[in-house]
Amino acid sequence: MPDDGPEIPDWEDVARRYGRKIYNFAYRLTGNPHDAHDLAQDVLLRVRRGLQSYTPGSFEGWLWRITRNAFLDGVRKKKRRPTVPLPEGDHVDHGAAPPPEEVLAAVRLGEDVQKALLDLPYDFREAVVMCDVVGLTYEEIAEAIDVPIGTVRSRIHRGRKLLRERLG
Amino acid sequence: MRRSLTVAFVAAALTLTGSAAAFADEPVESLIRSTEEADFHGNGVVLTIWGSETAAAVFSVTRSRGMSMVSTGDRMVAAGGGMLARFDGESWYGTGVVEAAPWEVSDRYALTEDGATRRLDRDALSVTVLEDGVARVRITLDAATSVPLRTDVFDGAGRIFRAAFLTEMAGAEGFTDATPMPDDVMPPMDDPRKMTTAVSPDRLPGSAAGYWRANAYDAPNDGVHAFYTDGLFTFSVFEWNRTATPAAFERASEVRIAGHDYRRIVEPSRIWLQWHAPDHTYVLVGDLPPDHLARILPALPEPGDRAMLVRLWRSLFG
Amino acid sequence: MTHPDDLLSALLDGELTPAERRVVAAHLDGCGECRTELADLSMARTALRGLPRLELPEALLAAPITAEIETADDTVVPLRSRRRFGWAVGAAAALALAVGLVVTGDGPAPAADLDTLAEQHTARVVVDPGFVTIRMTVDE
Repeated sequence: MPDDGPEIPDWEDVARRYGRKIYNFAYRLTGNPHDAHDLAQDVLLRVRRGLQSYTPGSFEGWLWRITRNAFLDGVRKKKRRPTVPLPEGDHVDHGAAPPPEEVLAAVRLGEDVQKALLDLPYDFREAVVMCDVVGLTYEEIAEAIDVPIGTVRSRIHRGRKLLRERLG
Repeated sequence: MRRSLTVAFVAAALTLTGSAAAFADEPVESLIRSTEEADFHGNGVVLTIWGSETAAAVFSVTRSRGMSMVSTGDRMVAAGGGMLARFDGESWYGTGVVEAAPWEVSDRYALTEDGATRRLDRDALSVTVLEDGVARVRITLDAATSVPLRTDVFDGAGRIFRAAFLTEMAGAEGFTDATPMPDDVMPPMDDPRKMTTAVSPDRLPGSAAGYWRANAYDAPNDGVHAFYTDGLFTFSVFEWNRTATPAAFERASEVRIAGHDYRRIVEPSRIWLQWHAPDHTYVLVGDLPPDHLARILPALPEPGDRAMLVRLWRSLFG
Repeated sequence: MTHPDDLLSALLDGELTPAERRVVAAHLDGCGECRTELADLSMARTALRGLPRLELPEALLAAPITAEIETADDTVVPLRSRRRFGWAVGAAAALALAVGLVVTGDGPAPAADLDTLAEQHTARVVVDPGFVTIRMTVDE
C-alpha cells in the first residue's frame, strides 16, 4: 500500500492558511499581479514538494525561507528569459489574474506606496514587506532570511526611513 | 459633496509630535485617524442613554500593531486588516470583509478646539465635532498619543446619548507581559465568513439623511445587508424576504418614531430596531444618535403589516 | 544619550524588551528630533500596513495539481494521482466555503441571531477609521 501519511491534507491546510499571505508578499515584492501569480504558484508547488521532507521546527521560518528563495530564483531566471507559461489544464484557468476591482483598488490606494517600495534595495524591501505586509515577528524574519535579529531590526528601520523619504 | 480624504499622513505626524494646537482647522478625518495611531491599553466604561433605556458596560481595550481588541467579561472582539474575530466565551468566529468603499467623512462635520485640559492625570486636549455648527461629539484626547480618553455623543437636544471614558490608560511604553495583545489572543481563522458584495438591494435607498450606502453584502439566511455611513456614525440594515421576528426581539420594548412602531434594543455602544414591512423583515443596528435615526427611517421601507392585508384584500375583492 | 535609531522602529513593532522600551520612552520625552523621526517611521509603517490585502486568486489553489500532473515523473504512481484527485475535490470544497459559495441548507429560521448580525455589521465598521472606545461593541 502506498503511504497514507498526512502530507497531502497538510498541504491543503498550508495553502488555505498561508496562500493569501504568500500572494500578498509576492505582489508587494514584485509590484504586479502576473509576477505575483507566478511566484505564489511556484511557492505553493515548492511547499507541496517540500512538505514531505519538512522536519518539525519553526514552520513560519521554513515557509518564508522557501518563499524568499522562490522569489530570488525567479529574479535570476527572469534575467535570462521571459516567464514560462504553465501548461494549460482544461478545467483550471491558469491565466486568471486577481479580480479587476481588486487590482483597481490596489492601484488606486497603494500606487505611491507600492512604487516607493519597488525603489527600495531588495534587502530592505524584503524586510519591511515581511514585517508590515505579512506580519511576521523579527524573530521569524531572522529565521526566514537567515540573518541575526539585529540585522532585521536595522533593515526594517532603514527600509521605513527610505520609504518615508520617497513618499515625500 | 463629501470631502475626500487627503490627509492620512498629516494626522500621524501630528499625533506623535503632540502639538497642542494640532486640530484647529483640520478636517475631521485627521482627528479620527490620529486617535488610531498610538498603541495603548486601557480600561473604561461605555454607556448609551436613549429615552427611558440605558445600557452600560465596563470594558478593556488594547490597540497594538494596527489591531484593536475590546473585551467585556469573557467576550472579546479583535479586529485588524479587514478581519474581525469574535470570541463568545467558548469559540472564535471570524469574519472577513472582501470589499469596502473608501472612507470619507460627510462635510456637515467640522472641528473646533476647546483647549487644553487634564484627564487621568495627563495633559489632554478637548475637541468638539460640530454638525452644521452644533456640538455632536466632544472628545478629550491624551495630548501625547491622541488616544480618546473621554468621548461624548450628543443627541439632537444637546443631551448625552453615549459616553465612553477610560478609567485607566497606558501608552505602548506601559505595556507589560500581562497586557492582553490582540495579535496574541486572535487565533488563525481557518474558515472566516467572507462578506462579499450582494446584488443591489433595490428596496434600500442609496442615501438617507446625510448617510450613504457604502456597501451591500449577502447576509445570513438569504438576506441582504446594506451598510450606511456618514464617515462618523454607521448603521447596517438587514433585509429578508419573509416576515418573522428574530427571537431576540420578541421581548423587546416598542418605541414610536416618526409615527411608526419599532421594536428596540439598547446596548452599551449600539442600538437595534426591528420591524416588518409587507413580506419583509428588517433589522437595523448602528451607533447613530436618535435624532439621526428619526431622520433616516422615513427613507427606509415603512413598517406596516397592515399594508399587506390591504393589498391582499384588494387582490381578492378588487 | 545617543539617539536610539533603529530601536524606534522596533518600538512601533512592539519588538523591544521592557527595559529597552523604558529607555527609549525616556529618551523620546526629551528629544524632539526623535519624536519627529518616530512620526516619520510611523507614517511609513502605516502606509505599508494600509496597503490593500489582495485575495488569493482562486486558480492558484488549484493550479499546483494540474501543473504537477503535467510534469509528472516516474516517481508518481497512479494511485497517488487518484489521491490527488480526491484532494482536489476537497480543496475545491474548502475554497468554495472560504469564499462563501456554498450555501448550507435552508433552515426554518428566517433571521439570524443578533450576534451574527452584530459581527457582520462590526466587521464592516472597523474597516474604516473611527473611535475605538465607542465602536468596538461590547455587550454582555
